[in-house]
Amino acid sequence: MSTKHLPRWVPLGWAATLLLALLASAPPAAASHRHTVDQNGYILHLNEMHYASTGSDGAGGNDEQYCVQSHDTSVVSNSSAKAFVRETLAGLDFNKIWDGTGDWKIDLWPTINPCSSYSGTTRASIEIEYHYGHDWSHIPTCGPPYGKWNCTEFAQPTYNRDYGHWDYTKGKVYLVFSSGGRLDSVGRAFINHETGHVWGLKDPDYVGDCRWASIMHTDYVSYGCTNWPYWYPSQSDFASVKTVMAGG
Amino acid sequence: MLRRQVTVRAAAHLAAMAALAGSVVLAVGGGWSPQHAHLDLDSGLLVSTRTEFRACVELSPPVIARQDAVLAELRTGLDQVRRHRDWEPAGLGAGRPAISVGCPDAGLVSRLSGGDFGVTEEPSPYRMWIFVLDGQTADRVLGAGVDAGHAPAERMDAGERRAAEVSTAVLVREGRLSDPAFVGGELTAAAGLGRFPEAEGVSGGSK
Repeated sequence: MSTKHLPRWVPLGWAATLLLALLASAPPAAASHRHTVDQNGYILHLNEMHYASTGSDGAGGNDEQYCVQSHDTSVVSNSSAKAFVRETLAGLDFNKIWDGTGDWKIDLWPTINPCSSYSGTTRASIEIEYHYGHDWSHIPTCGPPYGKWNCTEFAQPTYNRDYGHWDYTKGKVYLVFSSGGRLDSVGRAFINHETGHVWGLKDPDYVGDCRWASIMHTDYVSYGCTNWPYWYPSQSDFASVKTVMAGG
Repeated sequence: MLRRQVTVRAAAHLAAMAALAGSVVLAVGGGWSPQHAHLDLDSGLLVSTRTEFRACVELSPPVIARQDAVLAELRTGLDQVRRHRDWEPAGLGAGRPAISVGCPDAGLVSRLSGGDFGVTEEPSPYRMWIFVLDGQTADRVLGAGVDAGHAPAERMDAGERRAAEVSTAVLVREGRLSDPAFVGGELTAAAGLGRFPEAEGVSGGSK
């Protein structure tokens, strides 16, 4: 061996080190389903999405009821907010809406009145709440250090005997007027993105993680991806949600 | 001389490899220290630092005089919940539920109507917070004729601007602690077993 050259173990060592870094930064093996298993190894999702109710003429015990609340009706009225969320989730082309996914395991029904008109047991039984406001920075998940963000909360943890895992009975979606609270395509994208969280979908692992076309990194919500320029869920998203429904 | 230069360069490469490998290990393992609490959905205790099912009890001032009787009723009720067939599969602990008097945030009840309880990085050891309310307080907080309710007591950051409830507050009217509807309903559901009572008819039957 020439004394001018490094020992042979050096390039081999670098190859091994880089392989380690590559493997460590790759998604965990369990994340075989697109945009579901999060950094903690869990899929946070709503309990009722595992089940369908019989009949279609009203909200059944296994359906998802949702309420909509504007926290500044001078910007967006309660009726406008409800109509917009309702149209986005359930009123457009069937291949663009969450409603009906998984043979109607997702079966969304709006409440008659805004969330705050219900109290106690009644409100607790509404599976999803959508809140429109200027700024949710008083809710740490939505606020500092990020600023004004849309966000999602899960409440009422419940054990799912059928699948042997923990679900949440309630999801709360917070939308800000400056983005998710807009009554246009931007607003629709964020409603679908945050609702995707409710169904167990996660954000990309990092900015530029664009492996699958997804509402979770649509152009509207950034993450440096350009392979899903639409405001509605992709077929990949629907497939991922069906996987979560099946306990995956 | 040349051999020495090569040795030094090789040592520099080795140090760089070690630094990269070390930073990867730290990045991957960061936040998973056993001492640092994190959301744990493999267990019904929901927080990695919890080792047993613990409940704290907060009594309204007029109820304090009956503390021993109230605690006995609650112990009986929690023992009944523990006999639920899903208690063990759900990972709620092998031992009898432990009950402590006094919750970390006694003022929680007065803030419930605000709906915002913040997110904590270090949740309490109590999976369940039980507030026993005198009649007047129960009428104000729960509503007249309502015997029990629940709310998130603590939430943790789950990443990606998501938060998840890890402790549940149970609010119950004094005198209803032994009521089968409470024990089998709100108390059981607050442990994550079964469902909270379902309210129907709020959707109006229209998509």
